[in-house]
Amino acid sequence: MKQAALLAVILGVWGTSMTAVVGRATPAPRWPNGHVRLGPPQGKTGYWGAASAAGLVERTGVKIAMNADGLLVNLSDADRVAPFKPWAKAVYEHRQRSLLQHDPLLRCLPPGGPRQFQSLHGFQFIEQPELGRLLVLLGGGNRNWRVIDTDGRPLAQAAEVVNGYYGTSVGRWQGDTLVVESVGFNEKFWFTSGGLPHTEALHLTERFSRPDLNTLEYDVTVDDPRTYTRPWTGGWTVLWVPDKDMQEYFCEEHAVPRFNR
Amino acid sequence: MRGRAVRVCCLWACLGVVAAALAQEGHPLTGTWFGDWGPTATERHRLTLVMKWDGDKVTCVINPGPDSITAANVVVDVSKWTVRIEADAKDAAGAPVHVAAEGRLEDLSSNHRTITGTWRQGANTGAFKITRD
Repeated sequence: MKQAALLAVILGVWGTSMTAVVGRATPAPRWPNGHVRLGPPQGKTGYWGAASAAGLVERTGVKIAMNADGLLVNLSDADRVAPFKPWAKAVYEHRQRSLLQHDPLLRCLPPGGPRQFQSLHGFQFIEQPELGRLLVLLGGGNRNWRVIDTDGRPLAQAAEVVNGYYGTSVGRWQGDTLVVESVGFNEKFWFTSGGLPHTEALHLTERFSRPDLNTLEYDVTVDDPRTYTRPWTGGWTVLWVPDKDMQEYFCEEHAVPRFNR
Repeated sequence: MRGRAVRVCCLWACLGVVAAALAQEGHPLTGTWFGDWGPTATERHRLTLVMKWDGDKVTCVINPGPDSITAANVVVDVSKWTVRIEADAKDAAGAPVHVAAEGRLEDLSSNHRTITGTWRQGANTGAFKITRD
């Protein structure tokens, strides 16, 4: 009885101290106009590092086991990854069965779409409100970069743009969340590890929020009616790496020797 | 001499751009396919097929140009990656001729994947092979 009471006291103290730790989370930095800063606090350095998920899966509450490369532990889980059209499921399963060996990233092609936020080498936001844009600098994939226009321009029609790896993006703030819409993707890349397919009809809606200094919450809604039966949403969190800059990394120094693009 | 070198460099650069631009990871049939069909190894007829997945079906144009043929039906069985293409064309004399091709998609992950099978055009039948470029 005494032991149980002691345990309760210990757990209580531990719980109280954990609450205090959580409660002491450093708030997200903000610009003078009140918007959350997605980059480092004023006068500091840092970047976004590891993502909490290996691959993108539909958020249904069901946990799907996969390794760090996005390879499913059980291929029978494929149906729960995303609402595939039959051809897309067949392609996804084929890529999984062949152990992702034809991943375009292995040929140093850029990680377009959500995959850019799963890089081992991190990423960084450079906010330029005076220019009406936000840059995403990527630590992997040959230090690629992406522009998100935040000047209020409308999203281009997919037919108007030259398709690319990062598409064309516009962003707007909804409270403390940056909402980014993108179209105009080519079909030369896998938009997440694990080999989810897509077509040029891909339309992404990404939501970035920073509940505290160290956490970036990333949600993305995938809308590609040629590949999936309906729009679906997934995401992950990313941890802040304080007081450091991204290290120089060039994919081609480490790529597989055959460049068969 | 220098001009020739520049032209050669430009040619290689253009070929490189085209090769890179054509790689795609979307629907496996989407793209331009080149090859031939014929009843024997020596009697061959060139084939160019432009296929595209529109979300509901695969569209296919055979030998684009003045005498192009638009396929009426392209059926893909993704469980075996077999492909059946049917089209109505005209022969050299202007008489209607039915085209039916059945093949199997191979080397799915390759940018230069192939479809091989049997091509029937009117009363003629032969093997065909097309490669995605």
